This record gives sequence, structure tokens and C-alpha cells, in this order.
Amino acid sequence: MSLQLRPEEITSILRKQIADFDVELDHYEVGTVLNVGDGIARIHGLSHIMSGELVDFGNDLFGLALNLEEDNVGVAIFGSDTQIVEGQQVRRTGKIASVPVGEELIGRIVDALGNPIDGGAPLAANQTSPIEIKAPGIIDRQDVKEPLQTGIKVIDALTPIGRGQRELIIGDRKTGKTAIAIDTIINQRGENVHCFYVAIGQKQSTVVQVYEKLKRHGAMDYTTIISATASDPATMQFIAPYAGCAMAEYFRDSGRHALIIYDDLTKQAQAYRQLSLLLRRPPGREAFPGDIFYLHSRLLERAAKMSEAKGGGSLTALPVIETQANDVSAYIPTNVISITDGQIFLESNLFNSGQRPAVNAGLSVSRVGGDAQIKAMKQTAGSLRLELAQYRELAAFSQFASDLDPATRRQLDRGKRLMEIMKQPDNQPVAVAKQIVIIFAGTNGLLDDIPPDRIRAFQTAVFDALDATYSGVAAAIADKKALTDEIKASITEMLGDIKRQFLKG
Amino acid sequence: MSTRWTAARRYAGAIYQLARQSNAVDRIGEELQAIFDLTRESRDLQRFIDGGIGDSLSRRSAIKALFASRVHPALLNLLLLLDEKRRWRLFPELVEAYQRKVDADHGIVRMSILTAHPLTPAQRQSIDQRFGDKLNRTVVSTVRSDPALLGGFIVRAGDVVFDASAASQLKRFHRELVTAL
Repeated sequence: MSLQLRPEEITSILRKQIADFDVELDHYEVGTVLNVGDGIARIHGLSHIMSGELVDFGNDLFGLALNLEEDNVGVAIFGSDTQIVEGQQVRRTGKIASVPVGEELIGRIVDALGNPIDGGAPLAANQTSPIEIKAPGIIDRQDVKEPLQTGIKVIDALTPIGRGQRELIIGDRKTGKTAIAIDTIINQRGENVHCFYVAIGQKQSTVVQVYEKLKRHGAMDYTTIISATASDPATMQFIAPYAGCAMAEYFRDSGRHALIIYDDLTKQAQAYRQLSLLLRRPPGREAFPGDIFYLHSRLLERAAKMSEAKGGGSLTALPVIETQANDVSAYIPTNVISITDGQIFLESNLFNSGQRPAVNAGLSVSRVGGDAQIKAMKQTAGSLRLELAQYRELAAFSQFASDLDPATRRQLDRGKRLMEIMKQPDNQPVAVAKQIVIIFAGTNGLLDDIPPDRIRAFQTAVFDALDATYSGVAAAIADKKALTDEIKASITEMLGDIKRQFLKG
Repeated sequence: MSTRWTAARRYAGAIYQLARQSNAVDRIGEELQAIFDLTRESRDLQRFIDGGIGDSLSRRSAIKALFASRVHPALLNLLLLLDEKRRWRLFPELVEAYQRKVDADHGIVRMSILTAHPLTPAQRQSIDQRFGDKLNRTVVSTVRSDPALLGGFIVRAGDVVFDASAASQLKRFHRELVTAL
């Protein structure tokens, strides 16, 4: 940009700066560094500093005042502490940590302070927002009522997510948590939902992979990545979710829709634990500090569906929590489960047995999403949940039984086919009308005469048909948003046609 | 450093209360300062304070012999207590903490003025006057000069810095020009 400046322009800018420059008495409050180490500096002085205020170490290095003690201030440093020396003078800034917000962030990768790290041009955002804002109050909100389609059949059918909801994605490592989050972002294409992916404590290479995947699917046109990787200071990992949330709130508060993914909050809790212990705050359970619940609750409370008076925008949050050995009763998982409006529970044995996404349909719930499902999905998904529950029960039982009565066998066969439908490869979101048709087929026994190993091929045939010959059926569902008898009949008829051809070939 | 401060403030608070009771705040303040200066000047006293010389009994009598006739009885007791508790190291902080208590009670603000060129008495008076009015306190100032400021002055009162130096203004000007481009 600076290369395009002409000399006259430079002169005029300089002239304006010189004319406008006024000599004024600069006054600020200072303190001296007592000691520094592990990303924490203790500072003497700064007697009027506020909690959460930014502290200026000079050389573009800042810190966050976290502990205000009788004769010193504990400051967490945003960067390397190696340049800071004992006795160095630091200044108050009088400001709370803020990040740039606005449309300019779309498609960018930024750090926890909003500085671009994608090698692109500097951000031209002229608006900033403090990272810690109080969540909207009761009057400013309304019920979650619009669906946020993830494009993942098992989630949209069984644990639907509404705009403004907080739905936890929880599971062991390598169970596909991030994949669900990424698929959800990819499926927001054309939905007018601005997406924010906050990477906390991850490998830089993982963040690059996510970026490449999003770019490949054209999702970077409406997505911002906020990255605080494992090599960033704990302070950055601690504030990254708040920074991302502040950026997403800009869209929520301007009457638009935003989706934010915190991947993952376990790492953020660990970063905060590190800071707290170094600041000598008393440790509690699992050595986490006493305010660890508030750390997450105040963050997730900022996800909301705003009232019409406030523009009707929404911010949906999908926090991710990593468990150890499927233990959801550990401290952080239970905290976040109790804060969120439901959870998607992923299991490694399901994942390893090829059932992907490895959603445990029994333990996953969505506490508000039902209101945000379109009627047609509600009509079909109700029986799906029941059938799957019965299947799980029978499947466990039938392992010991040698001969089964025909009714049980039929139920098992049905369940097996339904489980097959629930499988879905990475990055292939399915439109809601298609989801409804295939689930309708499964729960109404229309797939019973197709061998389980051919279910997915049949599904592909159905989806292709819905795109081509039978696009009228898909349009009717999308239009009516409910399954009338008429539509049901046309689906049955369509499936019959496709099945005849499919079983012949 | 911080734990030393905490302890020093406790001792300073105690001696200050005693000083007020016996109406000897200024006297004890001066004597504290004098002893502090003495410890810096006399190497023998320094070594004595650093410890190691004599047992506790002989140290007691040494302190008494040195100071008994010269300082306020309460201060003498403080010195003996410091010695007994082996807290001599707190002494510099103690003197400062005592001074701060006196200042806070008298509405005095200690101010350091850093200037590019030595100030005329009238200039200094004017600075003291202005800042005294602004801070609503009586100003006690010390002046140093540093040619690196180029012009103007920097005033520091407690934690607050008022920077009216040419060097800082130029630095700010430079930053504004660079960001404007």
C-alpha cells in the first residue's frame, strides 16, 4: 500500500501531521519491575492501576494486570519476557485489552491481540472492542429459534443446534472433534453466518491444516482464524477466546449471525491454571484456581440470540473439550457441560469401529435445539432417536444370544441400517432436505431390503436423484418445511423408483 | 523486596504511632535520617550492622553507648528491637516508610524534577507552585538535570510522571509521522 503513495501525498500527510502536532504535557503513571520470569512480572508502583488494565513495557510489549496486591502488581506478559529487566520502568495505559473488530477481519488469521499473522496487509480496522464485555442481559435476548445446520446428519437430526446456542463438542483426542467444527463452518457457506475459529494451544501445523481445508472449500470467504498456538505465551492462550468472542460479537450486535468455535477450552483452562499458579493464587481441585468456572461461564454466556429490538443477531458457540479416557466427570468437562446447552459426545471406540462421526447418540443432547429444528426434521428424527436407543440395547444383549425371534432380528437389522445412514465422511455436509429424505427412508423401513453394506451406495444414489430428476421433492421439503402426507407419498414413490433401479444394477 | 517492605512498614507504623504520642514526629524523623546517613558513611557501623560483631549482650550495650544520649528513647528501643530480631536489613525501607507516613499526614508530596538545563530559583518556584496547586499538596522537590532531555522537564510525583521534555515530544512526533505514512 505504501508503495503506491506519491511524493506529493507524503508531503501533504507530513504537512498535516506537523500542523496538527501540539506540544502537550504528557502524563502517565509508572512502576518499576521488581522481578520477572515465567511470563509474569511483578511491578512496584502503578498505585492506581485497575484490574485487567494493559501495562506498557515499551518496545510494543504489553502486559495484563491480573493481581493487585498491597505493594506490587502481578502482570502477565503478552510476549517474550526476556527483554524485560529488573528495575525497568513500565507505564499504565488506562485501557482494557482490546482487539480490532469489523468486516476487515473476514478471511484473516490473527493472533490473540488481533495482529494479522497470515503475512497479509496490516488490518485497516478502525473499530476496536474490549475483549472482556459483560454478556447481554435478559431483556436483550430472545429464544433460540432458528436452526444452525451443521450438515452432519447425526447432529442435525439428534442434537440440533440453534443460532445463539452453546453446544459442547466433547471427546477424547483423535475422535473427530475438530472435524465436526470444521464441517459446520464449511456448511455455513451461503447461509450468511460469519465464522470464527479460535485455535488454543494447538500445533501450528494443525492450524495451517485447518486453514488450508477451509480455503479449499471456499470457507475462508466468511471465516476468521484466531490462533494462539502451543508456542505462544500462556497469556495469549488465556485471552484468545475472549478476543475471538469480541470479534464475533461485532456481527451479533449488528443484527447478523456469527458462529464461534473454541478449540479447545481444556488448553485455555490449563493456560489460565499456569498463570494463576505463577501469580500464587491458591490452587483448588486439579490445581485449577477458584475462578475457573467463571472463566468459562462468562465466555460462553456471551453467545446469545438477540431480541428483535437489538437487531435479532446471534452468536452461536461451539466450545471443544478434550477428555482423558472418556472421563466426562473430570473437573473442566463437568464445568463446561453444566454451562452449555447440551453436548455432542464423541467416543473413541465408535470412531475406531468405523462409525464416523463417532457421536454417541445416547449421551449427546441438545437442550434448546429442538425449537430450532424445522418441522419436517422433527417429524422424522423423533422416531430415529427411539429406534437407535432400542438398537443399542438389543445389540448389547444379542451378543450373548444365539437364536433371536424375528421381531428382534428385524429391529437389529433396522438399527444396523440406521447406524449406517448416520455415517458421513469428512467435509461432505448434507443439505437438510436430503437428510430428511434418507432418515425418513431409514425409520420407515424403506431401506430394510437393501443389504447394510450397500446402504451408503444407495444413499449416494438417492442424493444424486434429489439433485437431478427429483429436485422437486427436495424443493417441496425446503419450501413447506414440514412433511405433509403428499410429500411423504412422493418420497416413498421416489425411493421405490430408485430402489428398483438400484437393486437391478 | 516486597516482604521486606511489608515488614518495614509494620515497624515504621509502630514507631510513628509512638512518635505522635510523644509529639516527636519530626525529631524522630530527623534522627532516623541521621542514623541512616551515618550507616552509609561509617564503614565500622556498617560492619556492625551487617552482623557478626559481638554477642547479643555486648551488641546491646554498644547500641546503647552509641545512641542512648543522642536519640529519642522510643527510637533507641526500636534500634535495640531491630538488633534483637536481626532485622537491621529493613532499616533503609523503614526510614522511607516512616517518611511516607509523615508526608501522608502532612499533605506533602515528594517530587523529583528532571530538567535539560539547570533551573533558576524563580522557574523552580513556579513549577513547585503549579504542581502543588494541581495535586493540592505541599510540594517538596529535588532537582536534577540531564542534557539528554534536550529541553523542557520531567516531573515525577510518586507513581505519576508529567513529561514535558523535548526528547519525549520528538519521540512521539516521530511515531505519529511513521504511523501516518
